[in-house]
Amino acid sequence: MKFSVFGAYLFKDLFFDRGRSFLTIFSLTAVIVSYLAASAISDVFLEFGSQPQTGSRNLLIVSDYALDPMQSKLDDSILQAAAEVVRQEFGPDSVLSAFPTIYRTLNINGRNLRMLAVPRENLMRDSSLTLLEGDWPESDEHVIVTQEALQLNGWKIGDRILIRGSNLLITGRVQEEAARTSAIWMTYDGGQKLFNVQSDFQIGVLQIDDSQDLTTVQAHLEQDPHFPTGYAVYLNQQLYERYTDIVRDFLKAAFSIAALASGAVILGTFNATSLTMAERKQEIAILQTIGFTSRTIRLFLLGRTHLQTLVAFCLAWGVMAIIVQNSLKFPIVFYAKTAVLRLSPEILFLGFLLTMLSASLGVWLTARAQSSLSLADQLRE
Amino acid sequence: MSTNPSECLIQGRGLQKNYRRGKVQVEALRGVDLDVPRGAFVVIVGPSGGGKTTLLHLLGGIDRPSAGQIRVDGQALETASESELTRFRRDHIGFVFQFYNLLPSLNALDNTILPLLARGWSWKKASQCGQAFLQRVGLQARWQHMPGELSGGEQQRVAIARALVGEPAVILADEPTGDLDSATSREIIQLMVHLNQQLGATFIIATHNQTACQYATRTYEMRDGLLSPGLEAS
Repeated sequence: MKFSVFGAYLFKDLFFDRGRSFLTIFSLTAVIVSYLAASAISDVFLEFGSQPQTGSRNLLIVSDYALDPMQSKLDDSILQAAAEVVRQEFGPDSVLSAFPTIYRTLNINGRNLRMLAVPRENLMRDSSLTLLEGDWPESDEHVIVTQEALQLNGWKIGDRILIRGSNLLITGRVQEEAARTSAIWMTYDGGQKLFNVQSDFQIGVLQIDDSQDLTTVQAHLEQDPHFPTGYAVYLNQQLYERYTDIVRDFLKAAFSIAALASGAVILGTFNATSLTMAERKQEIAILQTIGFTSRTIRLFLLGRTHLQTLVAFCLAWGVMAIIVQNSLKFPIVFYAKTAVLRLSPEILFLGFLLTMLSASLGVWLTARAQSSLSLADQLRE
Repeated sequence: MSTNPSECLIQGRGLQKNYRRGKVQVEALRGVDLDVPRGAFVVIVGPSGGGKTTLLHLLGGIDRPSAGQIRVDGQALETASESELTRFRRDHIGFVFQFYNLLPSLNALDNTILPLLARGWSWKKASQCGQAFLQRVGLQARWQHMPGELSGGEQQRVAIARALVGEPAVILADEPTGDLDSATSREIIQLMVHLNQQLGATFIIATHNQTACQYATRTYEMRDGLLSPGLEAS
């Protein structure tokens, strides 16, 4: 059969059967949209559940009883004692700086935000922050805000925000190296005034020299008898994980959703294509009787199914693009960390592959089941 | 379609066909011998379930016998592979069914040219040929109509045009008038007789319709899986 004839017959057939074709395309679209949506949600969960490795050289000291960093309480004597332990073991230059951090979680406009206050020079140099726009805080009433917080709250540089009765000025937009949370950063002095604290803070930060292995220093600190009891030492990402046990459930949920999504797209596509095939048994038998080879018929059915599946995939992609676009207005926030739905090339490629393979499998298995019947039996049916 | 009346186009010897329908073993053919000369107009009559359809399926390469030999237009069918049978049906046989079996998605002309498309013809060349055959069956004006827009008689005419368009050696018609009223049935039989005489194609018709017998060059009766010869006409 000539290719042009093949194509013409394909389109005539699809056009004549347009009611059923549209129904098949719509049901495939629904299945593929479900897959893409579930995969995108799974991606969000994965984002929450996994922390990027960072180049941070900071060790964080917090009270070991604290379920949330906000509950931690230490003072400068603890921080200096810890710094001394490191210097004793690893040399006087092993600690580049030791500075306090006031940490709070605030609820602003119904959303959680992290608020951190560190000495100005450490804020600019040692906090793994990149200033994207604007200026570093110059005074106690100045704050810099992460991109995520700006987006969530609709703030911009120059805006004033009212927190605990203080009118704070946003002077800059920053990006965090690690967790990319929704956060407000300010000077330590500003934080002390805002939260009315004197000498205690929540996190003590030791910035360790590049020549030292961070995990070795961490392990030594925790075991050294001179390290103050009642405190624990963490790397940046460990601290995040320590206070977000739920991330493990997020990871499990992410993988479960991804598995369910893949299963749904495989079974859904298989079902839709094999059902269409089953409905055309009589026509297939007539074509075989006339002299069309099984191979030609299978190719025709594959072409027909792939065309429908391709259209359905493009439609589903379009639908998901609209959903993703709209979801940007409503970011998902967990533990002051924000995420938005997105369609990664990996999700799209895997979805396309699974859809096409399932469609082929649907046609191939149904055709094989049919060819196990003799042509005479098929005509008799 | 060359016509040489002395040549035996179809030869069947000791044809048997057994198959299972559910738990029941059916003996559809119980040793059938058959000789059909080229250009004949053969009518097989007999009650339903007598084995007429099974015999046509064997002669048309749709099914294989459980035992016996069939030779059609020089080709042994009982040993042919599936792909050889497909090619045989495409090149040597035209089928007409009781319920027309037209493809609902194609118009009258496109249905007619299907055997040519299966042979690899272009749509344009096949359409020109198809128009000529639709004219022969009196449907040249209705070539664009879909099967659903045609009467039963018209659909059967399209099916006959489709069976003839590839100029096969044999046309097998299984109850071609079974779904038609008596007037239309007569028209269809007369059309087939006319085409047999005009084109020289060999027709084998299985039917309940006794009027077909009056046009037959040879008649058979099929009953309980056995074929017995009837009257031989001129």
